[in-house]
Amino acid sequence: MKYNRQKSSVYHKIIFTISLFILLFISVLTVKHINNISNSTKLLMHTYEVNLELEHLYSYIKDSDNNFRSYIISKDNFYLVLYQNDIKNVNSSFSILKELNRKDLGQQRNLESLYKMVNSRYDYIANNSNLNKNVDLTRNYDFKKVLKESGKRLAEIRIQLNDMVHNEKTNLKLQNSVYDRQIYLTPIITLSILFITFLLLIFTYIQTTNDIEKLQTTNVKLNKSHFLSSQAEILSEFGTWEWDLIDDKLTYSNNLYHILGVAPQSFEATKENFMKFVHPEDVEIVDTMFKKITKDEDLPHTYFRIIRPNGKIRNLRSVGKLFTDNVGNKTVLGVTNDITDEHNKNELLKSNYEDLIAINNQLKIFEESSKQAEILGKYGSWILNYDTLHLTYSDNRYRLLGYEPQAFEASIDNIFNFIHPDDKKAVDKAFKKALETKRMLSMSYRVITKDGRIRNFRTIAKSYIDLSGTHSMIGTTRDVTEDYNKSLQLKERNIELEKHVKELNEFNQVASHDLQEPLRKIQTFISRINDKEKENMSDAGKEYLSRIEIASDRMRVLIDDLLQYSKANRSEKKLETTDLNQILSESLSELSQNIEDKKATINYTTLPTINGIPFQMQQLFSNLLSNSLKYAKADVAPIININCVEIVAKNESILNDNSSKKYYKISVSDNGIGFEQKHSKQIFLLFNRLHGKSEYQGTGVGLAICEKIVEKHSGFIFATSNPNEGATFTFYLPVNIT
Amino acid sequence: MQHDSILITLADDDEDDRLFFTDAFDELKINTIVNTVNNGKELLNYLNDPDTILPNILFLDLNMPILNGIECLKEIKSNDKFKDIVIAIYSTSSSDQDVEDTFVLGANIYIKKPSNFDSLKKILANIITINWQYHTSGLNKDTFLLRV
Repeated sequence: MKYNRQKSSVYHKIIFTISLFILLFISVLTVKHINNISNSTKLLMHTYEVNLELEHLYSYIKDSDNNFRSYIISKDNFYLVLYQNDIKNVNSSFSILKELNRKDLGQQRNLESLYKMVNSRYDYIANNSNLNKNVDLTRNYDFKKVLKESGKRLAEIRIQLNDMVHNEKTNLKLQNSVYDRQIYLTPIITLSILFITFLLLIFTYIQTTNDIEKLQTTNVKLNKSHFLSSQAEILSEFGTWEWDLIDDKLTYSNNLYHILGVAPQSFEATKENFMKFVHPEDVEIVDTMFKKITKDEDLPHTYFRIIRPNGKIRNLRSVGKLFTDNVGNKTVLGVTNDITDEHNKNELLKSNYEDLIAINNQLKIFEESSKQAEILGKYGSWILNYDTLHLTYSDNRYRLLGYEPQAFEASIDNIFNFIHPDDKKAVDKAFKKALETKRMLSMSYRVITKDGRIRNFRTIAKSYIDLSGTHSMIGTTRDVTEDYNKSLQLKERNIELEKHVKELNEFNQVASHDLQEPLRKIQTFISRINDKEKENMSDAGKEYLSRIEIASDRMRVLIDDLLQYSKANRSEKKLETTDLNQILSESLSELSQNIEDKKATINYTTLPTINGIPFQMQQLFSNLLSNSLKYAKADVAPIININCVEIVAKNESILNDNSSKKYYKISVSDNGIGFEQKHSKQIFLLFNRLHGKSEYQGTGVGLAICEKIVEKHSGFIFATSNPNEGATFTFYLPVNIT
Repeated sequence: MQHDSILITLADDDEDDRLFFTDAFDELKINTIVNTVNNGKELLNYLNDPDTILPNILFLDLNMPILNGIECLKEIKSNDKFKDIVIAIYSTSSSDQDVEDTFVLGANIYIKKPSNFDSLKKILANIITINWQYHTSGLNKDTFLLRV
């Protein structure tokens, strides 16, 4: 559009110049014509003047003749004066004619010859006048001859004059014909030129009207595009600026002010004012930017930050280009764009991209590690597309069959070839069911590998819909031959173990029955001797008998405890709801005699109800209580405190467990003799005793049984004490025992 | 035969135990007639003998050769003829299994052989004086095992 406009204005200029030249030409032509016409008129006048003067001359000559004749006749001097006057007139007329015919050489020559003729005639007259003064002219021959000669001379003059008049007329005629021609051509040329000019003007007018229309359309378009651009500025958050390099004047668009966070045109657009908005860290960038604009008259993409009056930081981008208008004004036109959002988006995209790369890396690592895991774990994975029934094997899935990775194309048909003939039917059934129900539970089968070995495989699979909506089944197949063999071994071991347990039970039977029986008899016989024969015995005998009795009692306790321990160890775990409060009260009533004897005080809080084995729980409480009673200080009545709190595993450092598993923490503390903390583990060992048999009775089985019972209930037991400061036995039982 | 005497039979293969048992009744001076057999087989023969007057209380040891106490118990309980006999299990063992089994099979009481003669006497005296009709009606696992 700009180009067109420029073209049309050049066009206009050319037409204007041509018109101007034509008008100039017409003027010159017209002036020339007028000159020509005035020349022609002058020539005409000249001819008339010459003719007139010639006529005057002739008449003067005639007058002089007449007057002279009259003089001759009358001899009156008066006529001679007249005659003299006439000659003067002739002379003056000659000088006029001479002046008039200055340029006409032909007429001059004619005039000179005429002058000579007239002069010769007057000379002739003058010569003869004196003769005639006193003579009778009528009789004088000479006189007659002179008169005749004079008449002849006058006729010659007349001819000469007529010649000259004729000459002038010819001249005039010539001049007139030129004049007529010019008069005839001038209007035609003038008119035609005017007509051309007129056409040109019309053309120019049409062209101009067109141009104006175009300009108006362009103007409307320009207005629209200006409107659009201001709308666009607002919408896409950019502002424009103009920098007149010649006047060094800046202009900002309204939206540029908006971008800066101020009202439009609220400050004068100068470099200094703009710099006030620039982020301190970016001042240098913007400074260089301004220098660049003035120096290079161009601005490549420049990024910088500004701080709005409200303190918000915005990211801006500026770009500018030199614009030279028709007049040659140099203006750098620029656009400044608020790219904060874009910048943020870019940052987000960048971070997303980085995340993706990180995820991708992780995936790669995961893929590699899963490949390694497949090899180490002897498993392979596969994907079956439900729609195409296309099967894909992982590398290791091939290795499991004894093949190199991707050695053949996996398909449903060829995987069946590897399956052990005895298992084909079952696998086929399971597979068909899996396709139908779109799920596959664990399936075990045997395959025959490439080298003919039989391996046990187990496969699990799950339906999966990927992001593109493809239904497929993702499965994992594991070579479980080792596990299978191990489980076979385990089964054998179990059988063996069961045998051992049975043997142990038999031993228990022996211990509980066969060992007890002789002991019981020994004891009964001792009691018989005590009853019947004691008085017949010597003191030493009595002493020995008493020692036998003590030893046999001890043996009984040992056997009983041992049985209890093995019972605690082997009893089946039949958990039932057990109210520990009830259990405790039963234990207390069991030990009531003992408690009474020792004058013991027992304090206890409310205990929880747990899932447990009631008789074992009772044994636990009984053992702990009797333990406390047993190891009471000789001179201090025992005080036993039983407490219970609910705790979380991670809060109890002693449990060494960071989970949030809940436990009941039940403690039984006494004021007895206590023990050294270093023995706190030892006391739970079977048959382990810290004291001599004679000091405190016991087999060292009780606490071992306690530990066994707590362990049976997935709990822990600890003892803390210091000598003479009492002991605390703390056991933890899971809130939910399973 | 004195009909006002309590007829007691003990089946036990252990000679010592039979001795303690009879001694204890001798010392208790309760009007009882104690008869002992050496094993289960002998017991059943005795009970099935038409000439035998069935005992009031039968003390049955579990661990016996040839025919053990459990088998004897089953046999006796399967025979309606012996339904009135009070059966007291008299064993060295007090294993849960044995207690359970004999209770289920219909024994009336379970006695763990004590290791003290005085205790034995007390237990036996206790057994003889129990009102069996009353005891049996309220019998449960806890009252089944006699605790001294």
